[in-house]
Amino acid sequence: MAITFEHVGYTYQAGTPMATPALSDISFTVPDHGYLAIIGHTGSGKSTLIQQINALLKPTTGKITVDDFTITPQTTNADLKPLRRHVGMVFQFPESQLFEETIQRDIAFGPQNFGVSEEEANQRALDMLKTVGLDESFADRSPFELSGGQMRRVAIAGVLAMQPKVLILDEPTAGLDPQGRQEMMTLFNRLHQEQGLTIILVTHQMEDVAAYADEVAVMQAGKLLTCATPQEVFSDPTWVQNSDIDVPRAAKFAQRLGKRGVKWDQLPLTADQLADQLVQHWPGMGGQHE
Amino acid sequence: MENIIDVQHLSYRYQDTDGRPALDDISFTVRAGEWLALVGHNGSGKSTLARAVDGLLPFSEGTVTVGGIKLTPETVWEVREKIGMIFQNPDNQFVGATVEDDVAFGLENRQISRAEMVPRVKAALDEVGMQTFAQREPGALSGGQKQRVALAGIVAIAPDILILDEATSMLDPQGRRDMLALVQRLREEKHLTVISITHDIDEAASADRILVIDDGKLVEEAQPAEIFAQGERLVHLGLDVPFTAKLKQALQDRGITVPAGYQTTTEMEEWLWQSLSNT
Amino acid sequence: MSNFIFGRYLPLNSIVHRLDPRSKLLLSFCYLIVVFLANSWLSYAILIGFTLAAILSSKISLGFFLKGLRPMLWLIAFTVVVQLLFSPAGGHVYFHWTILNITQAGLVNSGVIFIRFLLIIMMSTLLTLSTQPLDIATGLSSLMKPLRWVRIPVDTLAMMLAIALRFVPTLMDEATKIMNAQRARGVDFGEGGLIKQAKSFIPLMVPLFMSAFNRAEDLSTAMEARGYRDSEHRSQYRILTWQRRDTMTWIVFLMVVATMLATRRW
Repeated sequence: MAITFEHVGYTYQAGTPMATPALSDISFTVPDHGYLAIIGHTGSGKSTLIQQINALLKPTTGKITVDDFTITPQTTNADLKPLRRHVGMVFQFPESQLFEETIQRDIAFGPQNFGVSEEEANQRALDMLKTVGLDESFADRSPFELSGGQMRRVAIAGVLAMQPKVLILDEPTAGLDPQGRQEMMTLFNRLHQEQGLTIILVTHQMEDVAAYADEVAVMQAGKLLTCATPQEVFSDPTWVQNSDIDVPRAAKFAQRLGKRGVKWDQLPLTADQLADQLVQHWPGMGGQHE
Repeated sequence: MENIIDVQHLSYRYQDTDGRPALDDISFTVRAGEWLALVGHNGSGKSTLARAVDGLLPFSEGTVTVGGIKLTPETVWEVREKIGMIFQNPDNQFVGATVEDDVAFGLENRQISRAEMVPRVKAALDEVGMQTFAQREPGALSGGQKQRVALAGIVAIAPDILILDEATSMLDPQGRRDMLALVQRLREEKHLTVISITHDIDEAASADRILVIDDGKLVEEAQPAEIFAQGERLVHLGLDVPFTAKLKQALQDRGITVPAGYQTTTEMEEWLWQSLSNT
Repeated sequence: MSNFIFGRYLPLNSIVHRLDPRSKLLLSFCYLIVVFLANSWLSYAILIGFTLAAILSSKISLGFFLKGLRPMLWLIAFTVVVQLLFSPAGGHVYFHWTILNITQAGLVNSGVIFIRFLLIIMMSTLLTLSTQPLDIATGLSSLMKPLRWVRIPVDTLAMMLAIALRFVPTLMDEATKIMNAQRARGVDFGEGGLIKQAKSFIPLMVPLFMSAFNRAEDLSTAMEARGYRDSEHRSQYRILTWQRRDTMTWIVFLMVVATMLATRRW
């Protein structure tokens, strides 16, 4: 599913004395099967932005298109179900949305709300448990007996069970340990690769941006500074400095070597990309012939 | 140097019926002024260990001695006088209605007179750079600011030991760096002993020594460089893999041999530059 | 919810805002009694004048108070109509049907009820609009101090109240977040029949309670780590100071009361 923002603006409590503008004039496009990362400081409007995509917040101005579905300031709540069915949303600390007595019923909750039969929803729940790396023995347990990391997997399974075409992830790895983070990011990448899910990832982890995203949107004070490939965004040191964003460690390291005189064809963003280029320069190896 | 914390054969079960103990026969010591990092998976027992040291859990076996005082139900308040603790969730440890009320909370508990409290609260807020926020309510603060207020609350009490229980894990990278720099500065100024429970490689790198906890047991104890030298295996210990270790692995996969052991980024940069210029 | 003004604080800098909350609490309470002592039109006029003066000196626009009255409108209208139709006979009878009478006495009575309602709501709205909830709590616990002597744990109650107030915004945020998460999973809050609506609250209430319990557990651990043992043996950082403006306010108030009493029918 492709997503297009056209001059989208959003103001909290519009029309009251407490009105606070949160987004202004945002335009960008995520192609079908795309992987977009959204970065920016806390309070820059990232969370407000993603909530527009399934109309939890409706734009005050402008227009959003998700496939053939259009959201404008006039869109009414009654029309939203078909949209929300296709846009899965994993909030920060999604484990706090669990409420059912058993894990299976919690995962089946979403699909059932969208009209899937109980039997079908329960089957999907079992499938999704496997997808997120938990076995079927979890199905009848209470979600509240699990560890934090397991609860998060169950919550994500609950979103995946709706079989969305777009998956929005708001800092999905916050609070997990490194192994949990790695497994989680691998899972999302697999869904993206194998099932063609369009992914929108809000993150502070530049390593994840470099490793997974096709494009990165940089937010600052409610405005979209740029939306381009990670390569384009991270390659301009002056721009990076002025926009106050972090760069991946590999890029930072490569720039330090660059200052000593190492020439990069393209700024490496990951350890692997860096190693690839180093091999090219390595005495007695790669392309450097004396 | 003397040992400010001495833990011997500490075991703890959440429930008597639990087969596996949350802490299993743990012994270690911390020297005064040392920075100790506790690492391990989520659920490995490292937070439980920190709580036991502060007398927040009634452990069944073993002894904990803090600043020469053996921890018992009678001495627990005396022990807590020596320890300041910051927890993971910035919201759930903010007791006061405003920043200054929160900093004063610990002083109120110790029945410090108001005349003495006012300057101490102010000085503590100055110390963490939050003086202009004194009247703010917690809702108006970022996670990082709330954690700095929590630090101010500890500075106001002036304990000898600071325990950070994943205090930076819910912060964004900027907040994390600010917090770490602040802890490093306060530690210098106040000669604090620091125990930090963390997954963060930069925080662990600040430590003099790292203890690895797994499944309630103390499985490893070494200096950061020694621990970091384990490369990709670090993920299984509950730590991030340092960038230099990732690069080393990537180079080795491509047939370039990198010297053994752990390199800091500067060491790695230097070595690479030497090798590249060595034509 | 948003036009429900009663119980909301409006941060402004006025003499009313700066008064000691104890002063305001006690004054509001005394005012309640005074309103019921008034009985002549002149005595009411004096109280109306005092109330308007208080509102004006708070710098809060009158519109806010009128907006705040809106949710109470039905209650007031109902009471006034009942007063009007069911009051005892007296004076001229304007209308009569079975047990319903509109008499002169009834008209007067309902007028009086209306004014009393108005005055009390105005004054208590002024109290909450001009005083932070925390200050109200601090003021209340300070005023309740004497109850210690009858073994009521005033300090513990005050601590509980302060923590509850502190966590109201946190839990409201949490509730919004959970509602959003469940909406994204296809829940329609506030739509459908009564049973469907009631059912839709389970996915909100269960997580909210779980979160509140977890927070409570974290908070109690953190409080204990920070040396909290019980509420009785603590010093106080936040203190209230009675100032000259409080004394002045009381003098004005007592003078108004005296004048009002002088003009009432005995």
